Amino acid sequence: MNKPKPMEMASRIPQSSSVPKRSRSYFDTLWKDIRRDKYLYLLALPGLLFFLIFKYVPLYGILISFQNYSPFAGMMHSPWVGFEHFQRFFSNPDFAMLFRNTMAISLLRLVLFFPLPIILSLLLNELNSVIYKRVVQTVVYMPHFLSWVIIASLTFLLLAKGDGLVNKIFESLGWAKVDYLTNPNLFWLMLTIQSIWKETGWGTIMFLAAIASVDPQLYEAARMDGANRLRLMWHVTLPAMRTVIVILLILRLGEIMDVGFEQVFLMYNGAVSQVAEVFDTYVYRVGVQQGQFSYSTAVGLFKSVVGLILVVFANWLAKKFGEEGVY
Amino acid sequence: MWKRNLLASLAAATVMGSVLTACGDGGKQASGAADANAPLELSIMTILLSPNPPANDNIIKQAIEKATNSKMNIQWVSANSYTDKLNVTLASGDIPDLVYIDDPFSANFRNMVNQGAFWDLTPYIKDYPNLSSKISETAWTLSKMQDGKNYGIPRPRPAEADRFFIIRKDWLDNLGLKPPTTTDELYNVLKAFKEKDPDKNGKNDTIPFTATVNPTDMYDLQAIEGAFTGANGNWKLVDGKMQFTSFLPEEKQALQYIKKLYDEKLIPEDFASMKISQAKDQFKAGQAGMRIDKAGTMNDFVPAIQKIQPSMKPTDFYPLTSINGYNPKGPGFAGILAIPKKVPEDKMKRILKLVDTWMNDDVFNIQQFGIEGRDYTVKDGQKVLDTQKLAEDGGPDFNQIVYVADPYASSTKNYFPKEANDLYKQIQDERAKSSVADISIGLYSPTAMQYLPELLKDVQDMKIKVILGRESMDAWDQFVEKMKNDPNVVKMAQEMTDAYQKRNAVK
Amino acid sequence: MKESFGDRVFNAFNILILALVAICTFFPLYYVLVVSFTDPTEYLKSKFIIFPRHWSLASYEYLFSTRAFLNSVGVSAFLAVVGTACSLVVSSSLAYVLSRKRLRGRRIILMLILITILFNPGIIPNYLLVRNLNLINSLWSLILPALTSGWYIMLMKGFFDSIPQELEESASIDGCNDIAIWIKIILPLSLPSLAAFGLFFAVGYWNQFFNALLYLTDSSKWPIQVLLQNMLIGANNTELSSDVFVQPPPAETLKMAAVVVATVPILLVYPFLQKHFAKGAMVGSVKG
Repeated sequence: MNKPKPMEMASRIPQSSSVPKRSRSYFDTLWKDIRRDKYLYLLALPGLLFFLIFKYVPLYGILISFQNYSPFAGMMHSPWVGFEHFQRFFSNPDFAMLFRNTMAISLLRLVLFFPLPIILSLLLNELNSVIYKRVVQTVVYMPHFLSWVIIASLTFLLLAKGDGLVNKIFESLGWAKVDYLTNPNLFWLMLTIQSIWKETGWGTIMFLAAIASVDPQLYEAARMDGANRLRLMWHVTLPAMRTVIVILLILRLGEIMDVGFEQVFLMYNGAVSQVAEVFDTYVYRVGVQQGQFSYSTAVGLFKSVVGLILVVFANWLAKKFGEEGVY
Repeated sequence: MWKRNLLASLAAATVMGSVLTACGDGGKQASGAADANAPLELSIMTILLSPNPPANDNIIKQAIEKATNSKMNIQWVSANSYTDKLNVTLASGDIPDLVYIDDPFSANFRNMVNQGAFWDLTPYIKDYPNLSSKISETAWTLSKMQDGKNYGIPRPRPAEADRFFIIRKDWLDNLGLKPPTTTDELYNVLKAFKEKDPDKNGKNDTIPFTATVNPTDMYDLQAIEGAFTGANGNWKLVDGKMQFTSFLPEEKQALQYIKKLYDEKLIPEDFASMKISQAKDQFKAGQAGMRIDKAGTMNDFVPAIQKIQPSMKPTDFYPLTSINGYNPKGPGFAGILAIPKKVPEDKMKRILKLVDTWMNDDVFNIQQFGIEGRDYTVKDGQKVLDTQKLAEDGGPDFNQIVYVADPYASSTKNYFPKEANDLYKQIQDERAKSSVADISIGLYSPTAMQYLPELLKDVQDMKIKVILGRESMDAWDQFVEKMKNDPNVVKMAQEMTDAYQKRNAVK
Repeated sequence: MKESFGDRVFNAFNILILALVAICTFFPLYYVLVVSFTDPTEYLKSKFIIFPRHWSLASYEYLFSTRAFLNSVGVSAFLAVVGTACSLVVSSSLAYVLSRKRLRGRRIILMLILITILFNPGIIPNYLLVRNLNLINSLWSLILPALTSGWYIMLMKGFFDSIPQELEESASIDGCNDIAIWIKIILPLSLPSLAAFGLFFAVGYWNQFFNALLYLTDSSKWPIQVLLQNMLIGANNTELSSDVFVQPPPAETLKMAAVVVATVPILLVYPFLQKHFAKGAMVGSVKG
């Protein structure tokens, strides 16, 4: 039985003159659909409650970006300063530099890092030996568990000029030593490589799950039509991952201003300040002496708004291409 | 249409939020005991420095409670996250009765003092003998807020013998050199360390001076800056006015000197990106000839070095007295103990009495030595301390609440060999004759609260670039010229000068 | 089916690349493991250790020596197990519902959830909420606020999107309501994604650090990451450690040991879940 659509229902009601028929029948169908789906709403209740209580209730805290917030006085008694923090933030002569650094690191990550887990999971999927696949899978996702402190230590061990491994090898080969850690030109690339190493394996989990959800009959059908390995990947596997890929991409765009404070902070040194200072480290440094709640919340609000704009745009674009999108 | 929903939900959340935060104001209000003789129940919050947080039924805690007639509920917070924890605690209003404030000069604490969050203890101090006598005048003076009052009990620390050059005396002896007293002599010693194989292992692989820096200050290299400028910290009094030390002409000399050290590989090539632990490890590996530290850390290093270079003696961990006549001294306190205003007055006085009693020798010794027979034994009338057991029992942790400063605690420890203690005590006494304090501690400048962190960061970045050779000395000169005339910097200097004169006048 | 030459080249190529990737990933991890077992003195002498000549459990002894250690492992295990179960239930239920296109208000709810991903008010409002719910110092303060997030809902929904909308039609004809359908049909079909997200949640709970620091006042309730971080302080900071009597091993070996201890338990979970990432978990669903 086909569930009647609202418009159909509306057309079945005999037209009489004065009462706006559309609104009456609109609410009728609305109520009817809600009743039909009452168990769905019930099922969603715990999740919805969670978001309401733990995500929406604290959201008022965003407003402290318009105050000079003091923890002791609380929001009720802290003075309101309007857009003062935003003015200070935007008129900072370093603003352009911070923006550029943040975007550069983010975009590099998006372009270089984002495709890699996808490719890796496709490759893993093509393996015939189950054991080999499991071994590689397990090894490759382990770096995710290392904290940035360890990764910074390892980076230092490898790349230090004095007695880093790479430079020691260069020395023994008679080559000149290279200063990796204080070279501003290499900083962004180094961060990206660190992220790639740490997160690619972990990122495959999502995609492997997506691949595993594909109906094997689709593969059979395609093979019957004579598709080879690569075409199978392109026409069967990849499309199955498409929804997840698009959602992930959109969400990442939303977080484009978040660069990972700890990683940058640990690799920071005076020589690379021009390229290493991002919004989060700036707020940390400037705010540390200050009880900087309002200022850092204001900067956070700015980042969120930029992210929101990008998400809305990306979602619209995705829908144009016929994808599910995020909403 | 979705915009409407969005606004509606945000409005609802705001209302709910304010309702939820308005009610529920009382955390646990430990009511003051009605009977003045009942044990004082209080909650305490402080930092934890050891791996094991003491349990609630900890044996040393119980002994102290007995001796002070109290029942304490102690919240131990991991030291590197203390600021965040303090902030949320203050925001929630559930402030413990006695709370350790790690930085009493933070804008946060100053604001709260202005808002009346804490008791002004100034009028009460004189009633408590230990608070007045066992905590130095300097500590009380420096920890005052800008209105000249004390809003917390400073936690005393030894002032003298602050972090300074520690040199491998055995290496000096091997090369027939004397401990340096000027920057020129220092340079020669470091050069000799680099070229003349002081550890006699046949290789020129030493790091003469292992030093690291911080993102906003020169950290280990501040010792060299101080040797040139004669000042400890960011501000120096010149002709009655406060000047930012990094803009002094002597600072340029310091930078040139450090650059020379870097170029000739007398400091690590990676000093700009090294972390503190790596520098420590270099010294522990017997690779380095000099580091910056307190003499009291001898035991952190010498046993480890002895495993690699067995001929090193404890007294080879040798503190220098001064360079160019300069050596730094500390403020005499680290953090303060504050009592929130919501604690009723009579309970507040009882808490002061508690701290006072705690500072008595017999009570303080409970955490210094532990329980007889368990943490220490008495041999020939001397207490012999089992440091391991005492550490397990959490003895040293209570120092983060109440501490009575042994003036030599930065140099000597009761588990060092006697020769080391004698040497360090003697050097400390020498240092005390010429030691320089940071005169800017506790001075309040509103402009500095806002702009000093950024200034420090920009200055530090520039210094590093100059030392590494990425920027020329001329660029440094231009930078200094520009910053000196920056209106915020000028204002800061003025406010610091005023605050300094105000404080001196009060004395 | 016979493999073509092209297929075989591809296979060989694939195996090679993956081997390379695995090696690049593995060597630093190997280094971490090896250093954690190295005698501190040998480590100080030479930092590049391929194979330690002197083994030492010094770093591990130091870590295990704390009374609190086993306790905190227990706490973290509790959080991981209970938390993951709660999170999976709450997340998958909401995500599934939101994947059903017929639901009224679906788009609005998704938008509202998106807002929560993008906007974060900071630690103080969240702390105040936890406090007002009387959860301070309760282990539930580490579970309830962390049950799920917009990210997980969006991604999980992505998985549920691929379950045909008509599936429930066939079931509802048999008289099942939506909740029963979810339990009996949808969940069994979603094992790969449940396994993946279960892993994410478990790791998240196991790694909890900052929330535990803020919300717990009783240090006997510290989960493992907080305890380990605490132990690294003295090893890293000269100023503070001069107060502490017992000398920790060199900072680096201790850090490595802490990493190993903190991650090995959770690392062991993934291999058990891998069978769910095998192909064909959704065999014959629509037709059946």
